[in-house]
Amino acid sequence: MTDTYTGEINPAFARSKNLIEPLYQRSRSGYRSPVSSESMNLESGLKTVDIEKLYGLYLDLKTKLQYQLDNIYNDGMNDIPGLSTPVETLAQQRQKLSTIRKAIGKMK
Amino acid sequence: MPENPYSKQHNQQFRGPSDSGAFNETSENNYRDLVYLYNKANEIDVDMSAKYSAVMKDTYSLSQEIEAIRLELASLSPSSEVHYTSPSQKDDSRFDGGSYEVTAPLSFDGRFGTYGLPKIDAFSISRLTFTNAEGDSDVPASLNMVVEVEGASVEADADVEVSTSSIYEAVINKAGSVWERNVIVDDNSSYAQLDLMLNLPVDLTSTDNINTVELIPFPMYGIDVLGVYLSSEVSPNLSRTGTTWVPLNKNDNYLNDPEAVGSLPPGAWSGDEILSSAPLSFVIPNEKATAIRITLRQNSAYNTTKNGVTPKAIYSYGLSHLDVRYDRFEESGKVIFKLEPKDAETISSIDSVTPYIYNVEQAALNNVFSYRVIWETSNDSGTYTLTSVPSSSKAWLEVTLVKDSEGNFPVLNGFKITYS
Repeated sequence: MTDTYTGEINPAFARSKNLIEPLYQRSRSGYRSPVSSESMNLESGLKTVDIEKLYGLYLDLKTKLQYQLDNIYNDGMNDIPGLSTPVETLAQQRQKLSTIRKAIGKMK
Repeated sequence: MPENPYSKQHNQQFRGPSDSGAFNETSENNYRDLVYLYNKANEIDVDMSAKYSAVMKDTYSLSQEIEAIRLELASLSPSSEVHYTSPSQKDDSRFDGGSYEVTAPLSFDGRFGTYGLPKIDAFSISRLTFTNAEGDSDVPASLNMVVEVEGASVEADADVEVSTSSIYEAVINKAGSVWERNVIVDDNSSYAQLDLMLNLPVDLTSTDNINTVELIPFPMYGIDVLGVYLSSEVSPNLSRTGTTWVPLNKNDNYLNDPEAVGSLPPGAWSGDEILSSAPLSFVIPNEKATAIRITLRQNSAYNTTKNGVTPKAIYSYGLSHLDVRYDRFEESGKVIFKLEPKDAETISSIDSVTPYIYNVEQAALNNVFSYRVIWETSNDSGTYTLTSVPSSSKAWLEVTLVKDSEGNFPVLNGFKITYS
């Protein structure tokens, strides 16, 4: 089997496929024409929803980062994402290296 | 990608005139900001997932390699010897429900690879941090920390550039938090050294005792720990010379014993410095303490080209974990290790057992350490005896640690067994 790669595999391009459009709709006001309170209220309401969603996204990312760091460092229950292979934490590996070094010292 | 929002503040007069151009511009800018923020969040999410997956796969490979080295090491041990090389040798559960069941198991601390007396968590406390209402680790305002650089190190130069994260990052119990101090100099021919001194807050607890100092150097295995000291003065001056500092190993235990270096608190005798230090936990008898001092050294530097012009050297060092604790322990505890001779040899008798316990002086080891050897009556029979069974394919070492009358809380780092 042959895999052929083109410029489309560029990560920035791949990410751009996941663009999200906000709920917020721009209402344009004509030159010197009045803006209805209804459209201003709708716009304001959608903007508020968008800002709340963004705040939610920020909290999700913050939680996700801490979860990943916990797993890498010292949680001890981490798998490779999407797989079920258990991975030792950095803390476990540090401890193993320490034990190995001590054992080597004793064998000298 | 903008670093600042597109949206700008418009100061409109109350009921004053406003033109539609400004209104439309604001509307457009709000939209562009929202699009940018949404997609930035999405981009970060995708990046985090991809890089996390890559880091985990690298971590997995590293752990496999470490395990291979461990097995290789076990096979290289001298004939007729079994060494402790991994917590996987612990084999308590096989005896559950039987007469050799371990009812008070020793506490294994995976961060340091040590076995200590069973810890009573409900009465064990940190002397540096507390848990706030949200369940997070927090630092009291009364915790003062001081860094004093050593006179001959590169840090002592007044022109040196130092970039550091918050020193409290070492104390906060949060994954990934690191106190990292970067000393940027012109060349890498010297070393960086400092003393970290901190008082022990008195508003957190009702005790002024400590018995455990834990520290994990940063970068791991990358710096030297030259000394760990305590002060019991009522109002300690947090400076190297302003207070009487007593080494944690105040009795010079294991004086000039190179095998003990790395397990002993350094700073007591010449040559006990811990080079390229592993994570450290020092358990001592209960001791009144008001302040702690730790001496760290970085001998090697990263090289960099700063601003693309002048080559620089960066001495990077710090701690990813620091705690001073008053822990409570049970009077005794046990653990059972499986002993397997290498290369399909057999065991008929255990000739000697050497425990590696360095927080109790050698003459007192018999007061804190004892063992029994458990044999299987026949291979894989599942019935056990204390009477040696010749030509066994395996046996078990039951270790008992006991707190002694001197107040020592023994910590087992490993053991060596000779058999025939």
